Amino acid sequence: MVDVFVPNAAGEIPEWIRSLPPGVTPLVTGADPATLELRPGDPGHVLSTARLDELVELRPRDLTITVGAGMRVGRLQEIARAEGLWLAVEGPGEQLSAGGLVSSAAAGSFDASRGPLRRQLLACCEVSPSGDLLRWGRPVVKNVAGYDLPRLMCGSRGRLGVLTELTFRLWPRQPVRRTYRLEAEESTAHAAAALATADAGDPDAATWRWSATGGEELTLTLLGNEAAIQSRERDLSRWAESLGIEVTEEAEAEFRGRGENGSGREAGGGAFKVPGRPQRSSSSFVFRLSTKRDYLAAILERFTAHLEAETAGFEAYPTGGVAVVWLQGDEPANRRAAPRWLHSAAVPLAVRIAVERGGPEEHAAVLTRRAPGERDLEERVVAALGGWDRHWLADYL
Amino acid sequence: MSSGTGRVRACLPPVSRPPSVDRMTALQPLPVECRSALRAVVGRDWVIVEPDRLLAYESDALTTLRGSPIAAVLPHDREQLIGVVRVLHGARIPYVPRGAGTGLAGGAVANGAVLICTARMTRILDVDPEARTVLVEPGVVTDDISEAAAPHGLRYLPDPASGVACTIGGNVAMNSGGPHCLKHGVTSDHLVELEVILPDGTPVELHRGEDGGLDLVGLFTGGEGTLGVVSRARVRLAPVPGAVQALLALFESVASAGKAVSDILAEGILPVALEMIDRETIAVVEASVYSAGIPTDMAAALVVECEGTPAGVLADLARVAEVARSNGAREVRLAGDEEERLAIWQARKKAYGALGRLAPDVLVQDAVVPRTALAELLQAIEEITRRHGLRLASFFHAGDGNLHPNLLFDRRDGDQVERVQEAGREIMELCVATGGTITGEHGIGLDKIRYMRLVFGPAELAAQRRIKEALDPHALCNADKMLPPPGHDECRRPAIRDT
Repeated sequence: MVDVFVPNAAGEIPEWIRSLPPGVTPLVTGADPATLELRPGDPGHVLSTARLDELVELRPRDLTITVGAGMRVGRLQEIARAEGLWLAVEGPGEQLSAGGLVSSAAAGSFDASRGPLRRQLLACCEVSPSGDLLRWGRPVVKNVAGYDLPRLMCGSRGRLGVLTELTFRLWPRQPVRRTYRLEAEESTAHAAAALATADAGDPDAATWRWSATGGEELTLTLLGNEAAIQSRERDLSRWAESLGIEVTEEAEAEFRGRGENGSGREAGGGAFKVPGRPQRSSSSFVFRLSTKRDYLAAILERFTAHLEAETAGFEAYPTGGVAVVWLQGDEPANRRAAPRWLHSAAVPLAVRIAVERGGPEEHAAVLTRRAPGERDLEERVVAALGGWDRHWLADYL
Repeated sequence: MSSGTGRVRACLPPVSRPPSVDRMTALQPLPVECRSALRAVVGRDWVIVEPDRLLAYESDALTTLRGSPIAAVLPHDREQLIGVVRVLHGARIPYVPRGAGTGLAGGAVANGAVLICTARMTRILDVDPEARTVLVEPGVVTDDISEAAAPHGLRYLPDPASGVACTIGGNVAMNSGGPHCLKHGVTSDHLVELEVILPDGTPVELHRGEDGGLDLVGLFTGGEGTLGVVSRARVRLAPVPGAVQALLALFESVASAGKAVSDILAEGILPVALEMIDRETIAVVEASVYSAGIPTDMAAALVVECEGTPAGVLADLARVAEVARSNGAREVRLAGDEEERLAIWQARKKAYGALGRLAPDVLVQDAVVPRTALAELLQAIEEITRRHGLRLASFFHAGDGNLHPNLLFDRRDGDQVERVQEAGREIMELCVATGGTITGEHGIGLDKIRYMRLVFGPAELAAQRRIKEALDPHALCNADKMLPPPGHDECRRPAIRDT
């Protein structure tokens, strides 16, 4: 029997946490508990922040927004968009709750130009594993008072407590946003690779996607005023021409429709030729690869040589040196093969791997590469904060 | 606190130290065996114990806070740094890491402790233009990183005002900012990995959680050297932009200038810098060799800088000029060339030095407030300083809401010192009451410990102390900084020593 707790307010959480049997780590999720597909071995105590989905404060002229941890990122973007603002997160994280986004520190296509999630999170409230209500950071854009706990929360995967409220930095929408699709006769992987190393005018966002059913696409996005965009567009065209690549401007509505609402798009589906992001499902799992910008080029090359059935999708942000790999998890053989394949491709190239969705087993497998000193230090920090001892990953967030 | 040696009058506050540090009583001389061990590590010349030579190490750039180190040790490389920390850890002697001593919070004051100065560790170990990173030792001067990257068309983005002198180790410790972090972010946003020497002398490489772990780089950055000493940092580089251009907008009212700041950002324009200078600062700068030709009857000046493509920058600045005029700017000047751009920046960047014409001492505040509160707060701060009979000069990062109200005084006047401290406290409380914070880029150090309770409750402070204790159980590494000791809910500001 699973104990599921869905608080209406953060103040209800401390008592529930204190009532947990000693040594028990709960599963914390931003998802509606009715949609959870628990696996064997998952904990018997589940806390869902789904009802903590309120808009706490929007300060458009201060460029900040404070929301409950259960608010979906897509909803947050809608609120911001109505004020001419946006949260600089476009990628798999859009499918999560705000708390899940922070817990997983999901990578996105604007990380290189606007900073990763840890730059966007200004403050947060949490209930610690000992049941204390704690507030970290302030709703301002600069703050160096004390240890930077908001940054520590980014990617902590729930180990440090239950996030209840988050304050993000918003960015003003710039006058022009233009997205270009790059197409080549065979593959655009080499262009994505070149983008990671060559000076192609440093686009604000670059995404190379591949899916088993939809093929591939490389898109670049430029933000700014019209004069700046035109000038950068000329640079981009010159660069693409030198690689034998055709550049097509993609209709903004078409582009925005794909990712912004957080729903993703079925691979190869609809009227669009380009592939979409694979849908979340309990039967797939996701790895994030992080490496030096120029090493990502080699990863892309190796990846294209390894496109096999077990891979559901691949999304790389060449300018940020990050790639996200979706693997079909319903085949036991794939579950075993995936970490092996990733290691064989990644280890010689100093790639760091994180599990974004999957079980503790996959997580433990990839963490084995971690230097003991850093691992020990992390455990000391987690213990100091009374943290929980297991990672519950983003598929629950 | 008694001096012990009678050489100087120690005047740092009676902030209690954890018991292990109390065993090493302040101003006790460095034990002979420890001095020998340190000399064996770094060489005889680089262990300074002579009182007259140690005078230079009594303070950082916040010269009103002073303490007497029992020695200053200057390692030359990573191995020496590890050796130094191990010797001090073994002898249970407290120590304080120090870069170039340009900090503004008293974070590098070592009262009764050993200073570990990393200023000799100046090697740029690896410039990787393909990956756009550079690996440096902690003593590398911040501006030198951009110089090393320039041949590759790259640069290091954070630009603390003391960039010609401060070092990357100090920048990491304090998570330094600067005028251009409005768009580019602060030091922490540009670190790829760190190697730190833990308080027991163990070196450990830290990353940003790319493997699913915690962002330990983020934890150490801004930790003010309380968790360890940085031995290496790999930082991110960015391309040099095609064009950089600045604009000066002059206003007759601070409120109008403050509103213009919010309106510029609301337009979707993203300047790299958006700075404000007040009337008092304009007057003192214009009377100095750094004059930018700003009329001294102006209440406020905005310096706005944009970068990107030449056409894009001009279009952005044209829009900024429109917004400034619509907010009542009396004059808007676009720098015609690089010389004019630098002249505009001189007025902002040299303002601090020019304040010396007005008073012998300055108390620099570093609060951050929501941008929309800027105009109202500036008026309230003026009122506070007027009520205390003090002079105020402000120049600050308006785009970030990062205020630097400078209270001018003469430390020889005890009554004035009291009034400065009281006004400083009122300003800080006011800023926090608007939702702001007590420091945006200078750090807590010793200077702002008493304000930590304005922004953290007992549970948050206790949690941070537990982190510190987990990594530094003997309380050796800059142990009297940043976190008020337990049981000191009413910490007093360090007394200002009459020198």
